Parts: sequence; C-alpha cells; structure tokens
Amino acid sequence: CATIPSGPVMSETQKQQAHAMQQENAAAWFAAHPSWNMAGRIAVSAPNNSGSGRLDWTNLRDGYVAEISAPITRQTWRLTYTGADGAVIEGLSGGARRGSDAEQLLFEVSGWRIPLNELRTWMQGITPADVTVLRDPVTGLPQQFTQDEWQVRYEEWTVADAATGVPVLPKRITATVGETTKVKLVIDSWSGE
Amino acid sequence: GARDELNRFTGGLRSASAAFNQQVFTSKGKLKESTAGGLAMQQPKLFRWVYTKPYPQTVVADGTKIWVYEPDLQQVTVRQQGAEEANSPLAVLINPSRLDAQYIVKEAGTSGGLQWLSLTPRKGVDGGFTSAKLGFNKGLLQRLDFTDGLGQRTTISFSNWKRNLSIPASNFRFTPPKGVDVIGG
Repeated sequence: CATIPSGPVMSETQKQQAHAMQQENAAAWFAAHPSWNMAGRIAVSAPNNSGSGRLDWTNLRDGYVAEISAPITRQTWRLTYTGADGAVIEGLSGGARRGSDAEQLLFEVSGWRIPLNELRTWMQGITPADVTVLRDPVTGLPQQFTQDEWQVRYEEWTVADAATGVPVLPKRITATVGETTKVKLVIDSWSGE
Repeated sequence: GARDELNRFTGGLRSASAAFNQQVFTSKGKLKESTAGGLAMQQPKLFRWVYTKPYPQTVVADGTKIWVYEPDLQQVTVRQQGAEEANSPLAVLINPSRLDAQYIVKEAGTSGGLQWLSLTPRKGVDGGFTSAKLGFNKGLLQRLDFTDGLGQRTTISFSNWKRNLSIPASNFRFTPPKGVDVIGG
C-alpha cells in the first residue's frame, strides 16, 4: 500500500542523491568502525518454526558474533562466524556445535531460518548495487528492494547524530519470502566499538 | 537460615505479584541490558511477566501455552508451556514445591543484607543454567541471580511483593491484538 508522503516530495534526481549520500555515509562509518555493534530485537516466523528474542550483533574483521537471547530467562546462544573456520554456536546445553555454514547451523539448532549474511548488509543499510531500490518519496532513503527472493523493507531509519558521528542507519527492517517466511528486526542501539 | 526464609516465602503461596528490575552482564562483566517491569503468578503454573522498560514485552503462561507478545515487532509467538520455565530458576516462583526435585539447594551465607541459597541443577535438569542464587529477607525473595552456559550473569531484584492476592483470571489469559502476526503454537 503506498504510504501517503508526509512532506514535500523529492524529484527523482534528489532521491538518487539522498540515497547515494546515505550509502556513502553508512559505508564510511562502518569502515571507520570495523567492530561495530548493534543491539535490537528480532522476530522470525516460518511455516514450522518461529520465535523472537534479543539480537546483539558485533562485527569482526572477517565475520561476526550474533548473540540471540530468549525472553525472560535471557538464555543465550552465541553464534560466531569467521569465514575461515566456519561457524560455532555456544551456550547450548549439549555443548558447542560447529559447522561450515552459519545459517545451516543456526537452522539445525533452532529451526530458525535467518539469512545471516544478507541480514548483515541489510542492517547496515547498504543496498545491493544490482537491484532496483524503491526510495522514500520524501527522504529518498531506501524503502524496499528484492534480493535472492527476500523482499526487504526499511520501515524506519535513525536520525544522524552529529555528536557521536553515527550517520543515518536502519531502525526497523522487515524481510519476507512469500506470505509465510518473515524476519523482523527492530534496532535499539548502534555503537562503534 | 535462608532455607527457613525460602519456606516462609513458598509456604502456602497460592498467588503473588511484584515489581522487578533485571540486569544482564556479559561474561566479562559489562552491563549488556537493563529492563524493568512487573510479574504476577498463581499456582499451579500460571504466570504473567511484563517488561515495561526500555521497551514493552508481555509473556503470559496460561497453564498450557506461553504467549510472548512484542508490540514493537507486532508479533505474538506461542508455544507449549514446557521445560524451559519449569527448569529455569524461575521455577522458585512458578512451582516452588519442585525446587528440590530439580536443584541441589544449599545455604550460601549472608551478604548484602540478604540470606542466600545456591541452586545447582541436578543431573538431567536442563534449564540452560550452570548456577543460580536466591537472596531472601523478611521471608521474601529479594534477588534471583543466575549464570548461563556462556557465563552471562542475570540478576533480578524484586520489590513490592504482594502475597496471596486475588488476581483476575484474565491476567493469565492472552488474546492477541488485531493486526499482529500470531506465530506457532
């Protein structure tokens, strides 16, 4: 459903420029903060499995650490992926489990299907170069695009923070495949180290 | 000792409500999360756990199912009420009579004005916790600390306890609001 623009609508060129600037600022910030961290909440729904929890994501030079905590008990799984030596999930009662593919390992352990590699770039607000991106009519910021059958929607962005230098970054993302598979992410905080 | 305090707390406990503050520390001791809210429980397996800060989240156990409602994510996740809660240190609130069956309970001295009990899961009890401690004072549970398999420490401090109050049955039922995704269960 087309949302009613909440302000003066940008021209096509203005939108392209706004989008390009957002991409540049985001890429520069992430390059300057290689071990960036994001804390938020994730909800996953699929035909046979679903759940929600806190997601604490820390970037590594060659991978990432994703900690998913359950409500109340905050029982936590820590998934560490470093390209070279694959993935390991710790915090399970049966002890750590390893695998070469992080997504497959997470699926085997939890039944959750999360496109972790794509999610990593989606959460950074970096839109793929080779796909058409629908831009917000008022701000020019990315609003929606499709990547490997995931329809990704940026529903909310943060405001750039001059004091900390944190640029405009995603705050709410929804990614769906068809009607039944959905990943929703609300980002509560960004930090550079 | 703390054991007597536990017995005073759980003895004849049919229902209760309290406010709580919860803090989670990483294995390196860094404060990772600080939340607050209120809880209500009623024997035998009904409980309601509502986070109000920093963001809303409601968890209701209605005796057969657990409902987790996240307004910001517009999602309700439902699953069968099962082992996690019963085995977790929350069991002291939910079904105290089973505490000894699941944990080795030992006196752990007095500190911070509280009398402490340590809980070590018995063989085969998997609540995902390596250790837990209960802190009592004046026959009330004031603190619940537990450490998980990653060495992450959670401390929950309780206040404003009310015992054996009458709680409307609707508190332990959950009807998903319109327009949110209801998943599972």
